[in-house]
This record gives sequence, C-alpha cells and structure tokens, in this order.
Amino acid sequence: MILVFEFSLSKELEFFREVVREFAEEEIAPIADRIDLEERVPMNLVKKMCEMGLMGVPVPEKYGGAGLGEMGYAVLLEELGRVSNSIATTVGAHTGLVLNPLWIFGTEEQKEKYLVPLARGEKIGAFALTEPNAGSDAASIQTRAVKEGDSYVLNGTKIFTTNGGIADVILVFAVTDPALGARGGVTCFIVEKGFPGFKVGVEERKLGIRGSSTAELTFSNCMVPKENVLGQVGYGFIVALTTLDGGRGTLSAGALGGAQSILEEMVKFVKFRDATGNKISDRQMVQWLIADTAMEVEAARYMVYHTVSLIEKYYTTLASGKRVSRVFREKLSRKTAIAKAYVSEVASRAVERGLQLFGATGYIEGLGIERAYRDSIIGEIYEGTNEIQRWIIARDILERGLD
Amino acid sequence: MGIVVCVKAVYDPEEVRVHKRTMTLLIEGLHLKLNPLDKYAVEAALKLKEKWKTSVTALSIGPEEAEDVLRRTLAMGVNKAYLVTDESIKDHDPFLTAYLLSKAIKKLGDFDLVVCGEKSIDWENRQVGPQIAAFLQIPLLHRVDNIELGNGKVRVREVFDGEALWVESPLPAAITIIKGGNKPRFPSPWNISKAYRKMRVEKWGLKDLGLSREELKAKTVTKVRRQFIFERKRETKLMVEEAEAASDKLISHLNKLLEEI
Ligand SMILES: Cc1cc2nc3c(=O)[nH]c(=O)nc-3n(C[C@H](O)[C@H](O)[C@H](O)COP(=O)(O)OP(=O)(O)OC[C@H]3O[C@@H](n4cnc5c(N)ncnc54)[C@H](O)[C@@H]3O)c2cc1C
Repeated sequence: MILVFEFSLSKELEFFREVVREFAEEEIAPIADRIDLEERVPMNLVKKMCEMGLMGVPVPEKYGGAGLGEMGYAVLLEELGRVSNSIATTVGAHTGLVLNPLWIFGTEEQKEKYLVPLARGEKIGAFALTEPNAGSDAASIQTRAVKEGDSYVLNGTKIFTTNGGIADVILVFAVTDPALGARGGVTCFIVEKGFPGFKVGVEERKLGIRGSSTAELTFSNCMVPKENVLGQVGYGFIVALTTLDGGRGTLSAGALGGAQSILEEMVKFVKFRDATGNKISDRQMVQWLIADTAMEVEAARYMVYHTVSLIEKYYTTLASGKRVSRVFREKLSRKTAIAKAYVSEVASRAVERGLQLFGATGYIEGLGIERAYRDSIIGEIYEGTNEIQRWIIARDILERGLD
Repeated sequence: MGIVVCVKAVYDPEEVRVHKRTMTLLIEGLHLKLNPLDKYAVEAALKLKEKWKTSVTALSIGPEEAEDVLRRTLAMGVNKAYLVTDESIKDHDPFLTAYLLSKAIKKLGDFDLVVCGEKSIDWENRQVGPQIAAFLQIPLLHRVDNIELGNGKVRVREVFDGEALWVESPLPAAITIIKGGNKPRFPSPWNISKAYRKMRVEKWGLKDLGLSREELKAKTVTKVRRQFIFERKRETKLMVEEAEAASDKLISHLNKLLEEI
C-alpha cells in the first residue's frame, strides 16, 4: 500500500477560506433561519454570491472562473455548509454538477457560450438525471430524445432537480437509443430555460434544505439544437458518472462544514449551560459526546481533502484531453463513495448528539440545531444514496481487492 | 496622484497565548493576518482609487511571511505591494517603524496621501501614523472615517470621543483610519488567484533604503522595562483631605504604581 499524503492548503486557499468564512458569517448566518422558513432560494443573496465570484471557483480563469480548483471549491462548500446547507446545495449543484462536466466534456464553442457565463455567475445551472422511475437506478431513465434534422426533440419528465426553479441552463440526460440503454444509448443535452417545450413544474416542499429549489422539469417536444449535445451522442452515462464520481466527493465538504458547526455549537453550549449543580461540561457523559464528534470530524476532514485532491487531479487530467487509467478511475470512485457516505453520516451523528445535548433549546426553532437536524439528512440521499455508495465500495473491494 | 497604504502583519491576540513565566508569545502554528484596521485603511484608499483614478501602493515592514499579508491587499485591489524585510530588523518599535516606513515612502517617489490604520491590534501603540507624518513633515489627519479629495486638497472627517469634525488640508498628507465608513470589501476569488499567482510583492532590505545597522539602533527609542499580564483589578482609594493635599497624595500614589511596573 502506498500512502502519499500532503495535507496543507496553499496560502492562497487559506486566505480564500478566511474570506468565505467572513462572508458566510456576515451575509448568510444571520439569515440562515429565515431562508429555511421562507422555503425559497434567497435570490438577493445568490446574486451577491454570483457577483462576488463564488459561482465559478474551480473553473480555470480562461473560462470565467477563479481557477482555484476542486480544493478551492471544497473549501467554499465546507464554509457554506457550516452556515447553511441550503446555500451549499445550491452552489454545489451549479458548480459540481454543471460547471465541471461543461469544462471536461464541452467543445470550445459550448464552453464559450455556456461555461463562461455560468462560471462568471451571470447564469445558474442545474443537472437533471433523476426521473419518477429512475432514482438509484439511473439507467432506467425514460426521457426520450429523437433526432429531427439539426435538432433533437426531447419528451419526458425529470424530478428532484436542484436549482430546477432558478436555472438558466440545465444538463438533461435522455435516451437516444433505447436498444443500447445506459451503454451508449443515453445522451446529455445542454438545455436553455427559454427553449420551447421546456417547463418548470412543481417545486417540492421538503424536510430540510428548504432554501434550495428542488423542482420537476417537463419536456414536451422540446427542441434542442444538435450542437448542444454534451460529450458525444451515446456518451451520456460517461458524462453523468464522471460528474457524480467527483461531485459527491466535493459535496462531502459541505457535510463536513455542517458537522463542524454542530461541534462548535456543542462546545460553546456545554461550557455555559448549568444543570444539577454543575456546568454540563463537567459530566464525562457530555465530554464523550464532544470527543466522539471531534474524532469523527477530524477523520472526515482528512478524508475529504485527501479525496478532493484526487478529484482535482482526475478532472484536470480529463479537461486537458488526456486519458485517465481505469485503475485510477475505479480507485477514485471508491474513495469518493467512501467520503460521501462516511462524512454525511458523521454530520448526521453529530447533529443527533448535538440535539440531545442541547435539549429543548435545540429542539425548538431559532438556534439552528433543529434546522441542522433536518438539513443534514439529505447528504445521505442525494448524489446516490448511502446504500448505493456502500454497494460501490463493496463491489470495488470484492472485485479489485482492498488496495 | 498616488496613495501609499501602510499595513502590518499581526497575530490575532485572540489566538496568541502568553508563556506565563518567560512572557514570550506562543505563536507556533499561527498565521499572520492583516491588521483589522489596516483593512479599513486599504478600503479607504481603494475607494479613492476608484473615484479619482489614482494608484494605491501597499507598504509593510515585517518578516518574510508578511508577504502573504501584502498579497491580501493585492487581492483587495491594491496596484503594487512592497515589503521591507531584513534579518537585522527584528524588533521594531513604533519610532523605528515610522522611520523605516517614511524612508521607504520617500524611495517610492511622489505621493499625495499616506494612509495607515490608527493602531494595530497587537500592541495598540497608536504612534506609527503620527510619527510618519512627522518624519515626512506633512500634515496629519488623525482618526478619520471619511475622505474626500479635490482641487489638490483633502477633506476628512476626524472623530474624537464621538464628536466629528471636517478638516481640510493641502496635499501631501498623512491619514490614520478608524472603523466607520470604510467597511472592507470581500476580495473575489478571481482577484485572490490573480494576487497569488500573477502579481509580485517587491522586497527591500536595509541596503535598499540606504541604511546601516547602527542607524537602526539609534532610531530604537523604546525601552521595555517589564512585561506582565495585566489583570484587571478595581481598587477604590479614598483620600479625604484638603484638595491640594489630596492631589499631592494622589500624584505620589500614581508614581508609586508606575514604579511597580
Ligand atoms: C433535495 C433533493 C435534491 C436532489 N437533486 C437532484 C439533482 O439535482 N439532480 C438529480 O438528477 N437528482 C437529484 N435528486 C435525486 C436523488 O439523487 C435521488 O433521490 C437519489 O439518487 C435516490 O433515488 P430515489 O429517491 O428514487 O430512491 P430509490 O432509488 O427509489 O431508492 C429507495 C431506497 O432503496 C434503496 N436502494 C435502491 N437501490 C438499491 C440497491 N441496489 N441496493 C440497496 N439499496 C438500494 C435506496 O438506497 C433507498 O433507500 C435530488 C433529491 C433530493 C431529495
């Protein structure tokens, strides 16, 4: 087994973290509860973030981004996740699920037309794969794309699309060849919200991340020009899997931020709360809750940044047009599955402990604990449920061995 | 038209712990930060830059690592950054700091304004700004939260004890900044990567300023008599005498306290 570890962030990213933390503390934290209560995307805040350049962090400067890579993007998500998982999710879907595939698979024209304005924050993106009959089993999607002259005609329904209600550009996965199915029969299309036949359907009401948009999208004879095929025809599953293999890894940085904030709140609370004649921090039982959470957060942080450094290598290699070995890809896929499942569960455990520790103070609205409780669970579901992650991990281990 | 902003790299007092016996600062693993008030100074300068199309140069004296702090000013929008750093400049008291800064400012060439934070969060001496003005023999505008330029003059709002006063001065002038109207901007990730990857921080040593080690010694005037951790103690002393006798007593009491330091 070879272990190559280099864990320090560059000075540039340390500064970036400080800036994002200040921004998050000043601009997001004070309204995080209100965002949740109002149950819609806070467009004023999103606009501020777009203008500040927070919507294109990993993408190279050449394409309108800041060029801070996946590491920079993970730093951003951790700090956003620390104050609001709604906001981390909104930024995450736009960045991890839309900018990255456009950067990796887009033609120069597509990058110019779509990636640049998205990375500059002039437009918002969404990624539409899931359908009523295709969640974990994404290979069963039924949205159909039929070629007619220089266009494709799309028909079908996508559900649970993050940013669906606010997106200008949507990556849509549709079947171009039913006979081939997932193996060459699915294609990814770049759809603009103004294309005829495209409509935003219901906005879901949710348990958590209520300040993010989760919408149904319908396509009825929606005309998409053939230049808007992302990757190649029949390449859709490669686009989707490459995106999700990385995206779920960086997304775990958001969950890490959530866990971190609960830990911070726990420490503050136990030092100040008196009960039965003592500070509750004097009780060993309470100390252990803190120690357990600290242990897991520490492990999670190393796991996240180690995994993200591999994703950065993966994506820059692919974007430069070079090939990535199958071994590396499979190893990465396992590692990101491990990070996604582990860190989302660390966040959920942290908030369960936190809630117990805070007692009624945490149960009622207003301190952010009950919101964090509702907000953390989504990490175990989206971008592939943790059951699916475990399946990926075990399959890889059993087929390729432990190393 | 040119503005020089003097900034300091500091450790955050909230993070620094003090060794109780040796009184040394425990700074291992901590990072230098841009002095908070200097962020306001940079912001004030940048506002002038945008409105009056001038250029802003950031200047600092400190260890090599202070380069990072200057990059942060570049990320905020400063045009150029200079760091005076030299093995022989280790402990610089406010007087020496102001002397070195004024030397460096002269070397930079023509300038219209020197902008500083009113104080640094580490030692809170509040002396560097005024002393720079003295060394450069230019007017000092002190504790300012608002600046306007025009017709070769500068108008500022000085704030003392909650009272504000608009003051006008010819250029060049030195300004010390307090919190207020100049809430520092958030540098964008675009500018952060530009500042760290494409821009330079120019470094000057003692030689570049045409100074010798002897001169450094001569310009160090502060003598540290004792360092101790200040414990906030409240003490009430009643002096029930005639006014004059009471004031004599008070003075000798204060002198005694001073000697204990
Ligand atoms: C808030 C939110 C945002 C979302 N955003 C997006 C988005 O932006 N784009 C997008 O395309 N999708 C999005 N989704 C969809 C999300 O990715 C899917 O919900 C997820 O993949 C699970 O699919 P499902 O809900 O259909 O569950 P199902 O696939 O029906 O699974 C039901 C249960 O069965 C388990 N299960 C299924 N298959 C297996 C198996 N083989 N082995 C063991 N257990 C299994 C699952 O783990 C789960 O517990 C979002 C969902 C939510 C709730």
